[in-house]
Order: sequence, then C-alpha cells, then structure tokens
Amino acid sequence: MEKITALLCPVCGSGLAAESGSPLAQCRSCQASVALGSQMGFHRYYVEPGIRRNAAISLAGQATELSFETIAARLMFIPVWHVEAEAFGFIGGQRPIVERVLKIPVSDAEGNTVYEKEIKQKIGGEVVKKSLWVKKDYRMLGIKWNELGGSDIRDGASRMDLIPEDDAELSKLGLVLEPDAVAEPEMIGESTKSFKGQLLYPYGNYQGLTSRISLLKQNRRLIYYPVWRVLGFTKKGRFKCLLDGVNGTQVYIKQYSRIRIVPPTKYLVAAMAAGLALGMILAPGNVIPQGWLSFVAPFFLLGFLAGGALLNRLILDRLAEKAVRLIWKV
Amino acid sequence: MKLTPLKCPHCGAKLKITGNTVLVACQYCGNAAEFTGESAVKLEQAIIKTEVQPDILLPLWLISYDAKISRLSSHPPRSLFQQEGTEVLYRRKDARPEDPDIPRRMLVAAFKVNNFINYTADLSYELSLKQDERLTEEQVKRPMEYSLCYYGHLDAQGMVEVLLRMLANKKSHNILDMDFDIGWRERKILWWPFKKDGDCWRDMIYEQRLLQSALEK
Repeated sequence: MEKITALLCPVCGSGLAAESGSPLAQCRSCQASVALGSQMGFHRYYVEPGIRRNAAISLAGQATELSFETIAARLMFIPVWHVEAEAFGFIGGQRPIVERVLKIPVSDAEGNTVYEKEIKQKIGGEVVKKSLWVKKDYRMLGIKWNELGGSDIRDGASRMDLIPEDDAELSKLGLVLEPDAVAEPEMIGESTKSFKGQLLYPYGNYQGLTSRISLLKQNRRLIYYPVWRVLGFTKKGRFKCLLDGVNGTQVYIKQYSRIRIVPPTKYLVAAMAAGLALGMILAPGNVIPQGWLSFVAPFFLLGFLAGGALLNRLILDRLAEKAVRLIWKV
Repeated sequence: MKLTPLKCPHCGAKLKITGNTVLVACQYCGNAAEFTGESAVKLEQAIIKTEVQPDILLPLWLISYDAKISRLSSHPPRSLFQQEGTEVLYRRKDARPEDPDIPRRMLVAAFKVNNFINYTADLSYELSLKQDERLTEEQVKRPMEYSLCYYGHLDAQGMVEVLLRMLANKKSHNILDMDFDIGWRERKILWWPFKKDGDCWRDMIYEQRLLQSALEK
C-alpha cells in the first residue's frame, strides 16, 4: 500500500482540499490554488465487494457441479485502469467526405408516389471524436478484464460506488495487488489502441485505412476491483475458481486433472525388443546360435511388450501416483 | 509530491482557479494566464477585428511550429471508398506523397463543440492560405469569457498532429501514413468573431456555420 500523506498548503501550512480528478487543490484558510503536479494525475478508488466468503465458496461449489472441498478462499483486489477521455482523430487516409444521394419516395394518402425526396448522406473517411472508457486487462492472473465483467462495469460505471481508496483500509479486507511500475505508460498505449479499435470498428475490414488519434482531456483512475479466488479439491483433482467480487459471476474456472506420471517402461521394453530384432537381422549367428530359436524370437518380442505394458499398468503407475501424492500432498 | 502555489505570471499575486478551467484571469491585475497542469503561464491573446460588431467571440488556439516528416509510407486506396466506386473528390491525382504541403501554423478550437472538428479542419486550411492578407488582429485589453476555453494548449497540440496528417492526405492521391517531428513554437489564443444566423452561429470571416446547440459551456 502506498503511504498516505496529508496535503498541506505551501503558502500558509494549513490543510488543502482537493477534488477527485482535479490537478488542483484549494487552501481552506488562505484561498490559494495549488497545483498538485503530474504525480497526482490519477486517483485511487475501490469497489466494495458484494459477496461474502461463504457465498463465494458456495458459488464456487456450484461451478464445479461436483462435490467440492475447499482448501482456501481469498479476497483479492485487482488494480484496473479506467480512462475517461476524448479521442480526436481521423479515419480513412483522406479528408474526403463523399456524398451519397438517397432517394426516398414520398407518397400521398392513396399510396401513390408523388415525388422522390433526396437526402444527401455523408460516407467515407471522416474525423471522429468520441468519449469512452478504456480498461486494462490484468495478465498476472491469466484473466482478462472482459472476463471480469469489464463490459458490465463499462455500462454501469456511473452507477457503481467508487470509494476513494485513501479512506479505506483495503489490505484488511483482502490481498491488494499493486500495479507494476510500467503499468501507467502501458495503460496509456493500450487505451490509445483501444480507442483506435473502437473508432475503426464500424468500418469493418479496415486493412486499407489509416487512422490517427490523440487523447484529449484524460481523466485516469485506478480502481481496485474485488475478486474471490477459491481453491478446492474434487474427485477429479484440484480445482481453482475466480469469482467477480461484486456480483459473483464466474470469471475463470480451471479443473486440474489428477496428476499422473507415466513411467517409460513401454518404451524401454520396446527399445530392448528393437535391439534384439536388429541383432538377429544383422548377425543371427551371434545372437541366436540355434536355428530353431529364430522361429520363436518374434513371440519373445511380443511377450516382452505385453509384459512391459502389464508391469506399467499394475505396478509402476500406482507407485508413481502414490509418490506424487506424497510429495505434492494432494 | 510536488505542491506548487499558483501565482499570476503578470503581477505575482495568488491565483484562484476552480474546476476545470484552462484560462484564468487574475483577480488583482485582470490579466489572463493559462493553467498548464503544474503552473500558470503568460498567455498572449488577440481578437480578430471585424467591421460589424460580433455576437460572440469564441477562442481558438493559433499554434506555430516547425514540422518535419519523420516517417512516410503510402499505398493506393484499397478500402471501401474505392470498392464503391466513389472516387474521393478532394484528392488531386498528380499529388505525390513526398510533396505534402505542411502549414507552419494552425488554428484549432479551444472551445468545445460537438461537430467542431470538421469545422476546425476547414478553418485551419483556410487560415494557412489566407490569414496574412485578410485578417487583422487586435491585442486583447478587456477581460474575455474565459469559461469558453475548454481545451488547453497540450490538447491543441495533439489536435495539430492529427490535422497535419489529415491535410497531407487531403491533397494526395495515395493514402499517406506518416509521422511528424514537431518543434513547437509560440502559441496564442485568437478570439474569433461569430454572428447569429437563425439557429446557427456563422463565422464572420470564412462564413462557416456552427450549430448553436453544439456549443457547450
């Protein structure tokens, strides 16, 4: 967690009042305006989890559709960038607004066409401006933001309660994952890319188009979003489940199969048999002195293979699995 | 964290800035300053002079720069424009990609308007051709309506980069993909005269229309 510091006025030393998202603060006593610098370019918020521990475990149990034994259930807060900005740019490579004339028949009361109304519609490359959300997927957990109900957040963002992070003791609630140091420039790059994608999307196959956008009036927020991580054990093996901490939807489920180590007996026996066969072909006299044995040798080989497989299945597999269970404690 | 008290760059008095303001007038000396996010800097302003009194003056950034093309590639249009047989009207067929005309200064809107971009592009283009002969500027002496300024100069510089590429493409037959190396020079706010024309605002210099409903304060 970042250390929380009080903002004191550099002119008179009394407390400053800062609005969220604003790069400015006002002194309460001397009325001076203070610039907060670029480090305060974003604010931190968190979303309160709506799912409690027991509910998370039961939801995870429903997800398995098997009898389920919990090993651990932990609440985590995942940092997600939220960028609100205006994009300014153009698409198409040309300025060119091409006009298409649409003819709409206008009919009278009896249904006969009286005249055709012409509407000029502009198509083609154009300059666009949009204001929208961008989010960063969180790769550390192998999940993407979209899987985390990202689209829901995008739609319901205005209704969601974002609690300023300074007032909360998030670490008491759960594990807080801090964004890495490169996350901010990366986020800006990603948000630009995302804007571009959304601007180009209506044009379908945009291979031949060029576009250039710049982000204006950016408002960045870092939101800690709650996620329940439930680990358990079913008869199929270990089980991992990530649940959206707000509405409990499954984000990510992984059912691990039982760990098996297959001993290479089969291949060992096959290699021995192949060596024997090669020897018989190259120098039959040395390997099998008696002539009648060369008739029996193929059956020996088959016997080797069958015996190896049996050995593998009955003894070595079981031993290997026992060893794995002992070591990994599953 | 670096905390900087904001002072008027003209008289040194304490500045009182509230909300999302870009331009602010000093409450003691009355001069305007631009808040850049970290400090308040001096700002030059001018009004475009007209014979008839305008109904409203809207702020535009006039930005000067030296731009060089740092990367350029081009390809013939192979998009939906060509597929539909709608040859782009504005493209000059003899224009070469290595010959884009780069204006040395540009005018972009500092006010917020829903459809301002096409308008701004036209105005920038017109300005780069005509400004010297047709426009007369006058130094600002009275306080203006600074709340109309929505975009700061950093936003305006971002717009310039986009518009440069757009203007180059406007003249080229091929689609140009280019990057610019831009050295920024002086900038100032031009207060542009507008006249009311029915439901719209009409620009008094180039007769461009601006939807009144699009103007957001």
